[in-house]
Amino acid sequence: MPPDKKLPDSIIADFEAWVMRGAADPREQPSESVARKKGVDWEAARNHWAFRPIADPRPPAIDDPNGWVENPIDQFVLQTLSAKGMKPAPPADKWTLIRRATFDLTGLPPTPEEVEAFLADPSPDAYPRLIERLLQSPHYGERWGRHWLDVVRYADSNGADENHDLPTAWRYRDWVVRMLNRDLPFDQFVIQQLAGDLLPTPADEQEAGDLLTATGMLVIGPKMLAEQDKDKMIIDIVDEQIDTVTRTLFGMTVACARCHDHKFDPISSEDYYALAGIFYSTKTMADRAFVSNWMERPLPSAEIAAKRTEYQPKIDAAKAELATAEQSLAAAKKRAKQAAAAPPTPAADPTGTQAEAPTDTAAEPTPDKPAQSDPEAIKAEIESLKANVAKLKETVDKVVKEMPAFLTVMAADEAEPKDLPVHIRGNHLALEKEVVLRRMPKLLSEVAPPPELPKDRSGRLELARWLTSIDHPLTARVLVNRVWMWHFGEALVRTPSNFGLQSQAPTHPELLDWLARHWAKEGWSLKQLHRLIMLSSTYQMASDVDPSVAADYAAKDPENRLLHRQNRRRLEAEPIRDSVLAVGGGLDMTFGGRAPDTAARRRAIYLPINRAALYEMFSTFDYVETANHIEQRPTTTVPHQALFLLNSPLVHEQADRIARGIERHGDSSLTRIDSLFWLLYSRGASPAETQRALTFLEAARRRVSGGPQGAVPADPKATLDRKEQEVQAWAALCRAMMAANEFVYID
Amino acid sequence: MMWNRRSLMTAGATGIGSIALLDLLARCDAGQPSAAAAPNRPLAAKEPHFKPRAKRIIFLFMHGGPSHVDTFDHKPELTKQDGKPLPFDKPRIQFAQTGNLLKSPWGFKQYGQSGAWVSDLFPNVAQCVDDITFIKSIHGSNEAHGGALLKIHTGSDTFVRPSMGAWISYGLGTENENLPSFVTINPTLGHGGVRNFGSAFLPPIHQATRIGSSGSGMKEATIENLTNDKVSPDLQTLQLGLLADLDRLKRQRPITPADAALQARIDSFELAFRMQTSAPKLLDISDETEATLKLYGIDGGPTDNYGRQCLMARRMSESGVRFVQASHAYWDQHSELKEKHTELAAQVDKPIAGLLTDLKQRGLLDETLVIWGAEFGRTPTAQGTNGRDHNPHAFTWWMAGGGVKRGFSYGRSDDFGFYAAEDKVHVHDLHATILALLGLDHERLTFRYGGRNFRLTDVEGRVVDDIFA
Repeated sequence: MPPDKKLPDSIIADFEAWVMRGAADPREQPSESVARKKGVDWEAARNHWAFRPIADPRPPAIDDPNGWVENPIDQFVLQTLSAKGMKPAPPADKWTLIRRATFDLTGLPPTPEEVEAFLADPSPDAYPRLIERLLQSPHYGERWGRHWLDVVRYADSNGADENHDLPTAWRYRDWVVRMLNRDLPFDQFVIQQLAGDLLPTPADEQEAGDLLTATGMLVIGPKMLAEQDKDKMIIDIVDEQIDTVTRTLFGMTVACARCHDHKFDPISSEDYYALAGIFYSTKTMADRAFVSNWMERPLPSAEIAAKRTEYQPKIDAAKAELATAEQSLAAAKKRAKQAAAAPPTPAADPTGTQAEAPTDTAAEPTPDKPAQSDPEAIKAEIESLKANVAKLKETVDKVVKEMPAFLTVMAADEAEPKDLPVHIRGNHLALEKEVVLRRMPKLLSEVAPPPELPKDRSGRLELARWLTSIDHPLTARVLVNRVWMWHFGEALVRTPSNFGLQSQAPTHPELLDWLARHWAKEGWSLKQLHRLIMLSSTYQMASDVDPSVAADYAAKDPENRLLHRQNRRRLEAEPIRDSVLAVGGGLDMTFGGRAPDTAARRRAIYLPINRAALYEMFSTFDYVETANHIEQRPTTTVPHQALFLLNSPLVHEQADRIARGIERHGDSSLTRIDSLFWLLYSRGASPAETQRALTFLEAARRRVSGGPQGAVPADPKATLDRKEQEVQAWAALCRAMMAANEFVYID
Repeated sequence: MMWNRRSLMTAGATGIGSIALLDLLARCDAGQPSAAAAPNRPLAAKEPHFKPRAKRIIFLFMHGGPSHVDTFDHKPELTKQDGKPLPFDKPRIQFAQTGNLLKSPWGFKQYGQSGAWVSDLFPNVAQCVDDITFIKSIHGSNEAHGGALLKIHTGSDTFVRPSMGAWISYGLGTENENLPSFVTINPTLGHGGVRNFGSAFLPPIHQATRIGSSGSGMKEATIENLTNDKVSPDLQTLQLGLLADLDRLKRQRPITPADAALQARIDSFELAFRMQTSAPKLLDISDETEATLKLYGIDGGPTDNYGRQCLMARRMSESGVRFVQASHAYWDQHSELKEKHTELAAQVDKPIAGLLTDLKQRGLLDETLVIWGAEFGRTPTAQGTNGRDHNPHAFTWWMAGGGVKRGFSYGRSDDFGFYAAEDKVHVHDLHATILALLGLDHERLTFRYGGRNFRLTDVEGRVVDDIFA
């Protein structure tokens, strides 16, 4: 018989879960999951290059009559080129090289003085010394920190549903910058971000605080803070963390396996929930409030702790005073009640009040203060006592609030360890019966022996150590490949966050393995990796090939996969903006901390990243995605970019600064033009370029409009004075030169 | 015009962009729009998958969630049972606690040939019901604003995904490359913010160009950096010439395939220049007649601002902008439903009716799909004494023009309007249907990212072709 009214929701949910499991008839298939059929070809996965141990190839012996080879990188590259009958491009000009290297390592253009000094230095080690100087620059961390922030989806606001400010996120960002400058070995860099809070606490406060700060990586993601299904909120956050961590470090899209076995890669749903258990056993949310709060942990400080101890008596005293006042109030209230209940003759019915007597003995009427006080007087007394209590409560609140507070940082903590069952189709309301014990993904564990996970902890630290173990097939390959991409514009594996079966095969598999193994074995030093790459002849090639072979090479290797030349690269949003300010002399080089807004003249890395309303300049120049891991910045060419460079107040302001100081560069237009080329392009102007700029200036003088300081005059026909006209013509020249390709491309 | 024609002509075999620039400048002078001939055309119009019913979309988004049972979903039973408990379970997850049923404070009347019921909140839109298809069985999955906004704009309240407008721009390009393909007027920057009109992993050119943000005065509306008071078009032309020449002089050799990106960049400056001449004209409504302004309620009163948004939407749409969204806030009446809904409806009713009338008069309604809707509706049960809570389980959108039936109603919510009941339309279905009206198959409009193909409708989506004319 069908029921005559709607079934309870819980039963309907059970039906839904059953249908999603495949609606199997329990009499026939008591335990089989029908819906989740196995999709992974495990044998194919075992043979996939990225899941095999990192090889230890020997750099090939090759014929190198021109002495092109500088280090093993070049041996691998030259071998591949020679096999195709191709030659590497000639070395880049020295001014191209210093511009390329300076942008690569600091995100800033070289100053004309730096270029001149480099050009004037004929010694053979001028270039290695240049690289060394740049690696020691504090701006190195600002440049490479930004790359890292891309992959860990750094931002200063939550985005998602409630765009709350993340007021301490910048501490994590600064930690990244400082650690890169310090060349913290990359394995440590990873371990601290995943599990810094679980490492032994260093005696040094700053160091101890740093270990907490590092785990901010797990907390800065976007979260649906107002999601009212709080169980869903938590499991969504876990998923977000898995997605970021696995794309960044595994180079795999593990999060696909939340709803089903990965379609292509060796990650089963069980693998996913085994990892999810680790993150679920980690606390990154402080509560489950209506609009929930993320974890902020106090930074250790003996100084503040001492101040707090010293301050505590103030709170104790205020609280004691309040307690006394509350007692007096309670006593008065009791007397009032007794007075009201008692008839005028107190002895008439003494038990009448007994039944309702509060248990508070302190409020018992005392013999010398009889209960039959004048009700009006008691009422007045109560009012006065109430006011006193309210006042003292305020005092307590104030004193507590004014207690010296620890600084806080977004950081993770351990939660109660918990293993999760597979969520059928990712639905947190449809759970498999059995939990999956926390562990590393199965197939990867065949290559990198998995650690034993402690029952009483999340397993984060073990995950981090496993990822950075020397046998791990992915972490070193993935990182080396990213660094290569950030130096060449394109990576050796051109799907840098997907090394799975859908990835593109490495263009130079042996080089990739050699770099990964060599680098990890030598201590995971990023700066050492930069040296190796940047001192290679491969890195130092020109981005143009000899015209005689250009057509042939373009046909043979149109995408430069074989590395027959350097890639010409457009700068990202941050170096473009910083360059505009740097050449205009308006860049504030203060290190660290948080810029108040995007109008600040600090370096771009310090500007707040608002996930819900990103600085338009950033989004215009392809820094679009602030809530997701960024695999690679796209390079698009859209009209808004042109509009920014030609019309934005920022560019106008800096071009004006240059134009107003143009007299410093001599009296003649020729020397001034030459100086502009040095300033903006790190090189002198050719005669043809000078001539063209002169022609422009002449025409521009007749067309500049606007009054002093660029304000539009009330009368549009009003003419500018000659001097202002001159300034504006030069400013127009500067802006056009900033808009030109050479300013935003590195050759 | 001071222009170095020879220097551009020598720019080499692929210097076509520069030639196009000359062509363009000539045409700009003649006041002609350009069909654009630059080789780098990420927004070039693309063929749809099948014959489209609509060419472009105007989406009137009512942020906050207007109450369907007080606007277009008439519930006599709700009036009858006012003050009584809901006779079935409330959802497992609710945004806030609600009490018993609360009847609508507004009367409903039937309008037009179709006899559609509309409340007294929308007397002007009521006059247009014979051009409208109501969908009264929409349901989503998120009960909070942020999640619900992301759901209806991007299809996902869990992951970062491209917005509907970005998908459409990606799928169809634009009819007028002098303008952005996707424009959003006065969007909220909260509740998902840019993600609601962003491109996520699609090429960034498909993200919306934003004009103002929630509540901005439309009189001063502008696109950032579009123009600069200090630079005359003359001077800008000189600058474009210079930067093209500097690029050529730097290379001093024939252009190779490796230079394609550089050339594309030169081309983009030309597009920017065209945009500079085209876009400000769209924002400047001074050439509209008195009658048109009146039609939209642009009279300095409460209807003025949204009237301007709607009029700008028409101007953009008319000029070929593929997707225009005009947002209005903030319909979130947890209390004071009567006062606030009255005030808000009065701001949009006339402008919306004006837009429909204007499009119809101009013969544009046939190819323009106008969509009215919000992130969710509201509960028929009372929050407090005089408010309603969020309700993603049943709400009403309507569409007009662009190949949908006229004077039609699809789907039904239960007798009180708490849950979608018949012919349910999920947000994914809505997306699939909107794409289908534009000639796009939601299962074929895909983008490869992170190793797999993505689509607006994920793995869901049913095309509700019952509403097609």
